[in-house]
Amino acid sequence: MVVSIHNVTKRFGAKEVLKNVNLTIPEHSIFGFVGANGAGKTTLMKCMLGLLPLTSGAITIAGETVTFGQTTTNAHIGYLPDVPEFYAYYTAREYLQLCAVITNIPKSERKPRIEELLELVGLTQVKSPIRTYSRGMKQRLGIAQALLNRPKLLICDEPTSALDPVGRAQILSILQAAKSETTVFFSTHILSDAEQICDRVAMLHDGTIIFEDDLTVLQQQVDHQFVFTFTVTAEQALSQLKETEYSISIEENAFIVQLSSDTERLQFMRELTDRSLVIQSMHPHTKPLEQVVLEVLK
Amino acid sequence: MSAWLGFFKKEWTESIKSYKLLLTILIFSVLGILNPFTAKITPAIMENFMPEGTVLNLPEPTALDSWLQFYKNFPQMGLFIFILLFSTMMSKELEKGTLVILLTKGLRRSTVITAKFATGFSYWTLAFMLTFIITYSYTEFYWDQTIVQHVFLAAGCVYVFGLLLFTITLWGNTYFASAYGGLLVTVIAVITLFIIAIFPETASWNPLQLLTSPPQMLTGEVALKEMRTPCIVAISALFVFLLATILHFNKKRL
Repeated sequence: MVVSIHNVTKRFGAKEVLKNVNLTIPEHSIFGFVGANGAGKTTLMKCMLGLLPLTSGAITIAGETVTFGQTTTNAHIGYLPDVPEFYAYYTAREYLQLCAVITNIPKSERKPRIEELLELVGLTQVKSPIRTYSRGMKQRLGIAQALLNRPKLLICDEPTSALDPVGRAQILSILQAAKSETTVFFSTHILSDAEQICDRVAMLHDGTIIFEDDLTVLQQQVDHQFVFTFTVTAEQALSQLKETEYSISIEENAFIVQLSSDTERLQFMRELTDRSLVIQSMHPHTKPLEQVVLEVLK
Repeated sequence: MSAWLGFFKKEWTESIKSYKLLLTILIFSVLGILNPFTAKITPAIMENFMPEGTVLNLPEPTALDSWLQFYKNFPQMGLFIFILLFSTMMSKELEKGTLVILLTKGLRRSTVITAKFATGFSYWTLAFMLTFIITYSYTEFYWDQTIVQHVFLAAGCVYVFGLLLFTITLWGNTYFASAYGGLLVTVIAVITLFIIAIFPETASWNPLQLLTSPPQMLTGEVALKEMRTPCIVAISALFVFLLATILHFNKKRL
């Protein structure tokens, strides 16, 4: 295990942000850390980086215990904050050179490694200072700096949350590529992002890990639900189908049906045709991960 | 290049890109020129502004007048501008979060403080040398400087006091992590020194003597040895504040 978090509690005054958190992260995996805003994800990440002191418990990274303040464990970590801030007057190359000096990368290896990473994040051709970068470009540069010293663990705090779909896809693809040489631990509240690239997911809710498992196990909980829209409202459609045996619910004006097999789906289509319900759209039901897990726990 | 030199280089690059080097060279060169220039033209100005027919018997300006201008302008205007220019060295980084990435890459926290101190130290030395050398050269050109005593050591006292004040600003700026924190702490420190100076017996050790006594050193009214203890106290206080800044930053939550 590259990371082992044991009974970690963190209080800010009277407020307990993390409550006896236990977590292990296997090597060479992409570990999604999900939870709503304010759940305590960033706090746990900062504790892992020694930026905040623990109230109780212990964190080990690559076998070494994390200490608050100056910690040697950071030598194993690459970190991308949620809003990475750089020195705006530097270019991406200059900034990476500064990072290379700080991480004591041998001089002969610096240039090829920087070029390799700029290629990976698509910033090779960009010569302008960082002040001119878009949010997505800054996130990509953030990943490049985090991977610079070939860390055993890459920690990314909400790397996709403020990006447009293209930017998100780029970041996810970079993280996927990074898996070959490191372990990725990234927080998100976007289910689709976690679904796309994670091997394992843990959910933090109200300071406690309420779910930790392989993504495949989690997906079974949400599979087989479909969202329909009709030429009539969801309520009108429900009133026409209330005598059928299907498990139907309406959530925020969305008409959701549980259809576990192809036969069931075909049969449901026939029911719709029989009742002259005209479909406008149909797609698999996806929910925010937190909502799914809360439903599982109910 | 070590991590310390790398971060020190970054500090210099930042100061150049934010025009601090240019401003320092311009402001402190102008101050250097201003000292002998003001001493030279003051009698002429006074004569022009007096009502016609007024007889004014002003003595010819000397090297002492030029140096008295130096001790008016440099410790007041010069030091104030310098502290203003470098009062946000830490708070800017802490407010923006630019240090987080570098610290999580293994940059030692003490490196951040010592490199920033070294940058401020270099800039204060540059500012001091510019003003001093220009004032000295022009004064030498216009007047005989043999009438002035302890020119170098008197100026050195102001230099040491400036360094102490900069270190206090750095500590305040790190402790409060805001632009005004450092300035406020510096103002409080200076006021405290002035309050202490009300009691005459404190003159033997009060670092404020380094700021107020140099003009008397030039005329020989204050002996050189009287500055020894204030100088030792100032340098000791400087190291205490530097150490306090490092210790505080080592445990600062980011």
